[in-house]
Amino acid sequence: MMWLLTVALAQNDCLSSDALPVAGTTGYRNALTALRTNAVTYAATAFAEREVFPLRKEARDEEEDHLVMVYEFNNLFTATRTPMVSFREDCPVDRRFASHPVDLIGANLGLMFRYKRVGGYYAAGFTLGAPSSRDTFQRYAGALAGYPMASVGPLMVAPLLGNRMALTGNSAMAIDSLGGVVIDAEVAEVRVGWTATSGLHLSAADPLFGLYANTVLGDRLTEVTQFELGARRFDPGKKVSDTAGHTSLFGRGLPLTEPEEEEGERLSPERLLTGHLVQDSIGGIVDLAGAYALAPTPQLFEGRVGLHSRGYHDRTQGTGGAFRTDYLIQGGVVQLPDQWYYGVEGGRHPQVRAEFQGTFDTLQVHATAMINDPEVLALFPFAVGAFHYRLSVRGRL
Amino acid sequence: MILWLLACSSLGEVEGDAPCREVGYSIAWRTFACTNDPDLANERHALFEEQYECIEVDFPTVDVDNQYLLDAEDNPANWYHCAFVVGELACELVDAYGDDLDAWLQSSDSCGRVVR
Repeated sequence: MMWLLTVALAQNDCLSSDALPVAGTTGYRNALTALRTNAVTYAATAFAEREVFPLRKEARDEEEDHLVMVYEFNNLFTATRTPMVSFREDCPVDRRFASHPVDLIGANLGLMFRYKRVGGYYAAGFTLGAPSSRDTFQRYAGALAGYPMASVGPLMVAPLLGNRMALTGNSAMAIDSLGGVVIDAEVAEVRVGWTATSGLHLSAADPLFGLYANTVLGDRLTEVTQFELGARRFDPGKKVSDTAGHTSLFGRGLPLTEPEEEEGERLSPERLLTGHLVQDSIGGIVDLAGAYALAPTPQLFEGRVGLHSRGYHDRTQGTGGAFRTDYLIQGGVVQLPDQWYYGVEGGRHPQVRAEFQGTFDTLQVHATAMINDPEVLALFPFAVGAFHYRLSVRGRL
Repeated sequence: MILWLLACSSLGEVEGDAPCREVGYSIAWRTFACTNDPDLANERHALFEEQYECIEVDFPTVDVDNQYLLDAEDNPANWYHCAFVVGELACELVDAYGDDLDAWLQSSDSCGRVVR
């Protein structure tokens, strides 16, 4: 074990911000794809739909007027590898040409308030991707504390910065923001917003049954950039849900590639179309989930089973001043199609996920560790075996 | 867990047949980018593996002043020049060459150094 540690630390002498990537390799292309996809994945819209709006549904049962806030930080270690040349003199000559890990970072901030039947929302995304730091301490300390703290400032002033993406070599930084209004029309809650990167954001949800639909219209409102529709945590009534749990059924379309331009004509991006069925909190403690990919290759996408503490899914119900801890352990299989254009051979891979949640009144801290998470592999198919760490803080006033 | 993270996240060795395998990936990549057809891209990669054999190369050591790997665009001697040029082929050429992979590999003189 000590030998492994010594080798790892010695190799890191060659990691350097001035090392240069070798063009023409799939690792280099994957790094560029990953950096762009990272910006889309943790863009403001996707975050608002995934983390902020569901909180509102759960919060509205308790109070009418409120403000919810979510901060989330993601770090995907070694999302891909790029052959690079290091020119550091302290790097051994036989290691100056080697494949270097590329880390991806995504941070989001979301706020939503409601006053009587109207409200507003704000979400921002800040993404960063680069060959990992040569200093091991710097790399992990940055992931745990440095980047989360440093990202708060840009997230708060994102609208002033507009839509920005800087790409140099195989490093990139992007920022995005979204703002909109919420109108509660009793039978449905309608959200209309504008996102700096993609365009018009339209979203609607039925607060009673959990039916919802959302889309982003980009390219001057002529292209559906992404969409999702279905039912989230349908509640069949307390007696049934205590035993059978809650059902979520939804379909989703995400861009797998960037739209190509050929002779002035814009080609549609390749899409990942998936159908999902989730039954959570069976008997209060078991989750079952499965997904089927309709495109690009029709096949079973994932299957998983999870075990969690009771109350794990009650995100904003409040503990009345008491401190409560919850956990989730999840395992399963994810199946990927052959994608040789990314250098990826298809096949089945085990997926593991562990979550810890601490709740004090309406403030919640959430930490997640994942390997081969299907949502991540759908967007970064070359990140098989990569370690993903997520930290989030949620609160309600 | 920490040791695993350190070991997996550090530098990796580049294998001798990597420049050749990259040519196959580049054919698939360019096919996919120009046609938006993932099946065709995978089929062409399978065709490449079926029709060609990889030549293992010995990477020379990199001196601080030696930038031989950095001129991928212009230097035909570069081991990755073949993969680079194939991955940048114009879509009209991708359409024209189709499944004729010999035509793809005529794009760079360096293809003969990594693929046979």
